[in-house]
Amino acid sequence: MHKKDMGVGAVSVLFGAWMFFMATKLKSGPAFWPKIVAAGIVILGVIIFVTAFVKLRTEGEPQEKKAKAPPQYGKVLIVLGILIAYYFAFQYIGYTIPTFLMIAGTAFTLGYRNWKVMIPTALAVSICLYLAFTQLFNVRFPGVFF
Amino acid sequence: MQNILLGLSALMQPQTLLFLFIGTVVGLIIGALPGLTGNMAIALMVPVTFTMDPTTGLAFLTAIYCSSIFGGSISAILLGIPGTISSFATTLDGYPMALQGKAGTALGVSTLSSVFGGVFSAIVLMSLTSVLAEFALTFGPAEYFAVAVLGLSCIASIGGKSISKGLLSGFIGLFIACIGMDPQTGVKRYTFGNINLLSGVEMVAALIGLFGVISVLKSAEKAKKATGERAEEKMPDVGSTWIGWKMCAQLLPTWLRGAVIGTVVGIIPGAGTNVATFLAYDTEKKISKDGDTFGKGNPKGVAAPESANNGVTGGSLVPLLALGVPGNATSALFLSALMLQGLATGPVLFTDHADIVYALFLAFFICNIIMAPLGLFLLRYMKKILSVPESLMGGIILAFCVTGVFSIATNPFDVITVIVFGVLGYVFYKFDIPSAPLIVCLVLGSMAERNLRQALVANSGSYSFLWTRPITLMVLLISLFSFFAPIISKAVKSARKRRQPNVVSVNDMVEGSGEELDDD
Amino acid sequence: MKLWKKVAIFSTICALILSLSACGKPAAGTPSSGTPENSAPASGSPAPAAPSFPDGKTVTLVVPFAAGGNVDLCARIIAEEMSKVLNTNVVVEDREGGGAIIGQTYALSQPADGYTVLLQTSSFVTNILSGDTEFGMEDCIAIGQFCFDPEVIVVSADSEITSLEEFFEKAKSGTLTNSTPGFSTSHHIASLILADTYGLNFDYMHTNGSAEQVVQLAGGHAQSGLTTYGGAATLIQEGKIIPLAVCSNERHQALPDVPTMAELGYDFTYGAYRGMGVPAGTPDEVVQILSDALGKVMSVDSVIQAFTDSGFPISYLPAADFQAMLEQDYKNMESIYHLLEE
Repeated sequence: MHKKDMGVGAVSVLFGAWMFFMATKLKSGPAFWPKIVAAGIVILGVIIFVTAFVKLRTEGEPQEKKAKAPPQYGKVLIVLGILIAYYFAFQYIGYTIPTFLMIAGTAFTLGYRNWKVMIPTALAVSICLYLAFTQLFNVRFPGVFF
Repeated sequence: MQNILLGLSALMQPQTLLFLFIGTVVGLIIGALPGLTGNMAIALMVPVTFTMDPTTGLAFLTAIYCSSIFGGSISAILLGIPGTISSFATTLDGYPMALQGKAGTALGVSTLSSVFGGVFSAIVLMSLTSVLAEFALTFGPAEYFAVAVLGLSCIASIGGKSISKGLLSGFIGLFIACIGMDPQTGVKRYTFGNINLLSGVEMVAALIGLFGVISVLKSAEKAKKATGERAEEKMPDVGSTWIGWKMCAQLLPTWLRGAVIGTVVGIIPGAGTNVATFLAYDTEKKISKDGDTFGKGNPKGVAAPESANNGVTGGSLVPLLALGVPGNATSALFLSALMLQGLATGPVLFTDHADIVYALFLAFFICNIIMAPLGLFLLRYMKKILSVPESLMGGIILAFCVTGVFSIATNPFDVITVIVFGVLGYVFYKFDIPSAPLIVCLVLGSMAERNLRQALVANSGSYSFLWTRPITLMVLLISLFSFFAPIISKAVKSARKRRQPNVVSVNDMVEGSGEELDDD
Repeated sequence: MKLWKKVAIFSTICALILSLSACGKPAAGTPSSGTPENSAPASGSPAPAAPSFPDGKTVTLVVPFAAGGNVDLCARIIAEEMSKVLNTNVVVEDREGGGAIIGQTYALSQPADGYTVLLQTSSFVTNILSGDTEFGMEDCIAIGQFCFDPEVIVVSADSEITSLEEFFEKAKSGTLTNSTPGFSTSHHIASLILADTYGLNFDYMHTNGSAEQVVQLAGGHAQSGLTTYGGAATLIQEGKIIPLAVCSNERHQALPDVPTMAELGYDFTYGAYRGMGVPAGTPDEVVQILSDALGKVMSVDSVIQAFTDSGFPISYLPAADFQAMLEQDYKNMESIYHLLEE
């Protein structure tokens, strides 16, 4: 917990420093506000780091509450992967098919296995969204197929 | 009075009433879908109204405007995804309420609060437009800056447990607001040569990423390998949407405060909509005795922003009708609609077309009143969305988020923004950094900067405007108080806690219980 | 049983979405049937002598600005009539962002077949000069201009300036604050050119859009500015904003008492122009068809009415003239662009 916070503090300081450095390349007018913000980030980073450090020294690392199950970072990455693949797919392939696959894929990743519900739902949602957006909102989707 | 009757007779045509009704339903649904805003619907409908008679056209747009603002609270409460920035503050307490099985109550509160705010602002609009319009003109850059700062000052109190982390989140929001062309000199800042970033980060996309994508990532993190059947068995208890007269009476002061803040702030052109909800929420949190429980499912935390954002609807039309100056993007669309009908705004409109003006006022009134039964009725069914298992809902949420955001400007880059902010939100979540302050600062950051620098130009580079202009000074002092009050009170509390180390703070307990509900 | 229930719930969600489109259609359909619109039957079929071009495919007007803005509004009025003239579906697509670069880049990277048309404003020229664009002047062929909105020099009533002479005098001797709707907007550029030509000094206050600009002027927070009539109409009528001169050759219809710059002895014309263009490489016949169609649209009564009511002065220039005008504007802008970068 405290170690994590020290990390947050350290990263903030680095980030703020980078932001400040970038701002120094600008003229004084446009640089004015970013410099204030960058300084704020650095100061907060230091505060967070020092507080966490002091707490770590005085209290020690607190016992993490036993989580029921460890977070499944793999699945988080899969979902993000699906989303990124979807982003490319719906630009080059079309809207409905990638959307259908994305909904089904995400549901599968999240542990849903009732195919009899999943398939019709994914199909209905993707087709309905397609119709609503193209017909009502005049949105043109990129991609080859509909 | 005669004018009101005149307006009423213009409005009481079957066709007009039909469009008023259709508009309310359409607005409600559009508002409820994440990423879609009433603005978009109105933009599409403006040319259509050209062929209608003025009263019908304006009534139709009014209905979409009012109910879409209310509709935004539905996805905010049920899914924790604010569809628009104006429903963002509703998420803070509405979603926790839904997680605690009080979705029905939350929706009921939001419905009635919206109606109250809307009706209140309609009355103000009807009676005080010409007086209040002058108020809008007193706002120069210095005052805008002060109002932006007032909005920003609430980050200290909505930041959650750790103030320094809340502020960090806010400052990162300010950084993101810096991205793009500098408003005063056109210099590119932090754009990395990407033209998509020239006009800054698309705010709705950021919002949807931080709240929509993240909710799916969170459920991915604790997804069970099992079929998920077990979770589906039980239809969550959502409660009735009718909250009862007793609660209405309790919430009345909250509604009134929210509606007043919304209407007054809504009048300030260009500032209103977003600041109003933040301010209303924060004010309520500070005033209430149970301010501690804000953010953990306090109905007042839903009531305040919801009455405020519908209060804005009427307020934003004040400068438009009296001065021909649109207060926000939506009222700019109203201006187009008026102009397309060949109607000039300003005092001329009131003298030459009193029937249309009063029909517009009454349309506000009526559509807000229709909204109550319609909302309560539709929401009884809409809340069933909660019974869709999270695992199946995930993909659907993503589809809505991506499609909605894409449709804002048909720009694929906005989808990247959603994904990036989804990841950012997840990182924030893992490191216990609140994301609410980021949104507030992202929305208000450029307003603060732009107006500070404009004020400096107007004042020949001197900072004296900070204390020589009465409104500015007053608002800034309130901001200081609003910023430091929660910090001091937290410091006092933690000092007390240190003296009695055994007492578990109430905060931690409530937070813990929220988590568990989440897991079920 | 359970399955049925679930499907029912999901289909309600879908039904909700569908009801959207169901609700939308009558809204779009009824008005045209409900109101007696005379122009509709008249302009049905006269023009489509074109052998191949519209060909039943949809023509898209790309607006590089937000929906509901002035350009978008113009485009939507035109689209409705143009679909009758071209006898095909004409739709408007808003692609805002990046100071209009995103929409411009998108439109110009579409196939050069005339089915994608870009709405052009002065930002097309300024964006190219900024060096941020991948396209240049040669990547776009003009179709025609449909609107020219002259700049009006205005001052705040609080400034106590009443004539252009006084305004020039004050702006020369000291500095006047000048409110614009944003950096490098046409109003800002007009002010820069004005200042450059006559040796004036302005302190610029860049607001966020023309609504804020006129409020700053009306409230006396800024002293002067250049704007178009439409955005400030009410405040001018109320006497909170005072127009001093119009930067065009003829007096403004709505401001018959306000002299033009020429009448006051200054050779200065500037305004916000709006037109259309297509990607380079579009066949000449297609450009001609579109240009003629635009000309025809701009002479339809209902369009003239809608433009007048909205405060957009119609000024049609055919393809060649608009092209020349754009090139002239490019040259002018090139010579003053350094002013923006200072």
